[in-house]
Amino acid sequence: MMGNRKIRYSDYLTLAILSAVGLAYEVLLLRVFSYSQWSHFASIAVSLALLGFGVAGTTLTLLGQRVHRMGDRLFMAGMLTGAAGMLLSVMLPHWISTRPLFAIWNLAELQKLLLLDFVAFIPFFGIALCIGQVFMRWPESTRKLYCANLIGSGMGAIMPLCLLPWLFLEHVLFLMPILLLITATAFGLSHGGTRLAGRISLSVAILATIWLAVGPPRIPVSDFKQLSYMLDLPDAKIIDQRPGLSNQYTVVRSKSIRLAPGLSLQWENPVPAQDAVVIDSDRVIPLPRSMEASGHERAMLGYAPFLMRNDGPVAVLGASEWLSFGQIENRPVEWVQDSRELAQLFDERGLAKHVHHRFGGARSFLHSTKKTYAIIYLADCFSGKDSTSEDYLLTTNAITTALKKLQPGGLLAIPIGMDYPPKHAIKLITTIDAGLKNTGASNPAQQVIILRSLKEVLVLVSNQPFQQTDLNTVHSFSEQWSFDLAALPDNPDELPDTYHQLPDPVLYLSARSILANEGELPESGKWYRTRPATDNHPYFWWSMRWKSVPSLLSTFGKQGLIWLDWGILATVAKAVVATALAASLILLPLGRLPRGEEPVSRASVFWYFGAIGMGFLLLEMAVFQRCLLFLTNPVSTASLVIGTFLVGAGTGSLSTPPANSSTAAKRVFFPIVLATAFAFVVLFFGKNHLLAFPLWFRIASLIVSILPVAWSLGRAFPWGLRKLDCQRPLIPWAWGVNGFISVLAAPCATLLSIHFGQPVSWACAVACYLLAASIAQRWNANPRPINAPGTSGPDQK
Amino acid sequence: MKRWFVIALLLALPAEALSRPGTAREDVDDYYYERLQMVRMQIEKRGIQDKAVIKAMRTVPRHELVPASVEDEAYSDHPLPIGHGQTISQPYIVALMTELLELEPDDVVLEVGTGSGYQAAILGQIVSRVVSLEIIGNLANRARRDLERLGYSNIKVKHRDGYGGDPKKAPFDAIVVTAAATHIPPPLLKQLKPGGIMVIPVGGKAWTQNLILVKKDEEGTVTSENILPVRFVPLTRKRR
Repeated sequence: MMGNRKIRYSDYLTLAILSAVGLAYEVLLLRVFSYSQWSHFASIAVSLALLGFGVAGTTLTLLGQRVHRMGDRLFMAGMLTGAAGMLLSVMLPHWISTRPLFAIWNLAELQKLLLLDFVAFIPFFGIALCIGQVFMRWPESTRKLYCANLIGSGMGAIMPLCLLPWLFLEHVLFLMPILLLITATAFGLSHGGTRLAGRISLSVAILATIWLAVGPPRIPVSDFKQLSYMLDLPDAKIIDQRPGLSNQYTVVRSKSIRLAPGLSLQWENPVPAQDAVVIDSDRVIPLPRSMEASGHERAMLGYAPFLMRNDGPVAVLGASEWLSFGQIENRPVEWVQDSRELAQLFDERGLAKHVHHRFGGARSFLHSTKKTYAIIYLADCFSGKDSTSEDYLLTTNAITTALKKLQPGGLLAIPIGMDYPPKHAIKLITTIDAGLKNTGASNPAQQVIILRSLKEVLVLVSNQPFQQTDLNTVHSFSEQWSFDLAALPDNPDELPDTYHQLPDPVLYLSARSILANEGELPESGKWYRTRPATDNHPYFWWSMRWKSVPSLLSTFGKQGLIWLDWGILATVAKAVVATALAASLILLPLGRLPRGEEPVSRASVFWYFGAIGMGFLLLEMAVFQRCLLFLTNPVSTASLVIGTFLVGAGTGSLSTPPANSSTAAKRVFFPIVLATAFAFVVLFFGKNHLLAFPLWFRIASLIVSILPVAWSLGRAFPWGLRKLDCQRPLIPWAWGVNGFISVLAAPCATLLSIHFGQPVSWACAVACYLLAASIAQRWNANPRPINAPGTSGPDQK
Repeated sequence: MKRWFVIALLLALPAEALSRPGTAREDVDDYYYERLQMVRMQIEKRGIQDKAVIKAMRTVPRHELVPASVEDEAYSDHPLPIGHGQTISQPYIVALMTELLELEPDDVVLEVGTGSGYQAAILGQIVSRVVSLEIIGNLANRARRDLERLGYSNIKVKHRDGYGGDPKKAPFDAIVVTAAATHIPPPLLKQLKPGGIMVIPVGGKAWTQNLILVKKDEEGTVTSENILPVRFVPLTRKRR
């Protein structure tokens, strides 16, 4: 019988490759969802992957002993299912166009979304079916199998890092099923009984490779993304496209592209047509066709800081629609952003001759630069972010740091979009107020000027009180170009909203209330959150107050939907769906399961594996959220964190203590608490020191901090599985419980950090492991004689 | 039952709706009662008060200006696809934008973004002359043909990029822009008469546009007023 054969070294290798492909596919799906839909759909990829593992666990539980009989054929079926699912999920979006957001009120859209999600889940299910069954077939090799699984996954996390800078996303995505088919071919042809499947796999692999060589279909982009919007313009055409690690770059040309946010209503000449670089599919950077200045740059709100400080070095942090090097003319500029492709596009057109490129994160630049600047321009802020995204540039800590890097009297310029009711502008004022107070400013109102145009706000912050000459310059600039002054030191009676009228002068009144402690916040300033963002709670773009939702909808009707934070709502929906799925699929196989023998009861198995599933992913997500502060780039951060966690956990699993040692529970769980505390100290208390170091040192430090955590976490799962060795029918169910609860943990980590701050997510993760520790302690306190086969396998010696 | 409903509706109608001297179709067409219902439920109930606007909304056969595939939905309370990735706005938004222009019968109006021609037809019911610009050639031709068929001789549809306006026909008493822009096109401001009004949705991205009312005073100073957020929903279009 194939199921009874002994494990070979090639099985470990196959398992590692499968795990690598699965993990790489998961990271790629993150990018695909983020590119084709909105970023908050990206985390669906994580949920789908975990769900695949959970459902595979349930399936294996239901199959029971048949898993052993089916043996290699089931393994082969899993691989082919995975490859077929991958190919199908690449093609299906071309046949079915969806608008996921509409699924909330449109049943047809919901059905299409569910179909696409189901197809995207199939590859994970197939791969998990392979991975799960090997634990059932060879329980005596649990540690080595788990190690191969995790190390393979770690390699898979790094794979996109190596491929994406050179290949377009659709090509890399298409490589995954080919890799899986090649693995299936090798496995199928080398095992009796699966040779036919191996030949089929080989044929499909060859066809898929030819397809890849010809060029796989491009990933369709949502109608709501800027790339679609740009390509819908008449005569729009793509004139250049480049791959990149975390983004793809598309240069669009149309005579209708004229980007000029903050342009004065008094400017009467046409803005010249430009090209636009669309980063990934949603961020637009104007790319002038030549360096010839048309003059309109001086009639834009963004010109104010250059008029006020017409000498001295300038640092521009990030890139957005707001960016206009035409305003800066021939002054020395340091442009800090992490995209070499974007810099090349500007350099090739000679648009950045006076610009010195600094590649890297804005935050680490602020901490590491030894220079001081006349102007620090946070250009990145204008593009905004999703409400669930971390933004470490708009925190009180970042503002304080930036103010320290200004020359005396220098300017920190922050542009953001302006809505009514103001979603983010009030929070920006409170964050700046707190940042100024951190520097010792006694009267922040003296150090802040706020200008407003049609739909834009520019906040100018200085590290010293503004001088009369500054106020005169701003006054004449705003009068010349009809910009409103929402805050101006020593000018409390300035008439607000002269040129751009809102239903009430909310920004003016709010600035007076917050910066000068004069009066209450107006009612329209209380619709959204105003608490300052901090490094421990870096969610500047999260603005929605739950209690304001009913009044927003009743006041604005359907239009009020625009003002909700859909990222948060999508995360809550995910949590609810995940809970329902987890509950039903965990309960489904209960009828076929034994109750367990005390002390390892079925309930205790549920709580143990559920707790470590929740704890592992909570901690992994929390670490990822924190590491973005140090690395900025989400793709490389995800790869680093996931890779380190998996490799660390894999090596940790090799040193799992024996199941029946009386001190095993302490040996498993005490290191988790210690390692987590160590990582917390480094990442939270040591952040300012760490940020000042070069990138390679930061990466090394992060790995050194995270690896012990991952190593210690990796021991809890195999230790628990080995405790179940005497009750084998419970093994796949425990594995499924772990997977399902992990699905729930992904949105929970986001919601916990957003609502209560990142330290609370860390604390909750530790609490989960403490719960698991107490169960483990109970299991070990009442040991039962172990008489099942496989418990004294070679790994335990 | 249906007959009683129609009789009740007719009795409830203001007399002017039935006796209006029309420029286009004033006869009772297949969608006449739906149109009246639309005006009552979507326009008047939401606070549109300008009698000329209400009259125009009751008169213009919206169903004649949408593709046949969505004709049945012509008077529904949402935008509709008209091809080429473009939409015809929700009736209320058309009425609101028209009311904000504070039109007089002698006014000359510039419309940027003809689309289906529905907004132009509403304007053509109220003012003496309308110049409408459409950048997509097929849409411009279709709208020109439909408006001529409906008898709107005071509307001139031109195929051109609306960003530059129409300097030869300028200045205009009012300008209405029905396509979202990232900023207010300066040439349009230049072509607005002192004392003139412009209505324009501003905001590049979907979901984040605002309807802006722009006024140019007699001295030429331009001011803006934020009216309300508008939801631009791209409807079905060809996949790229």
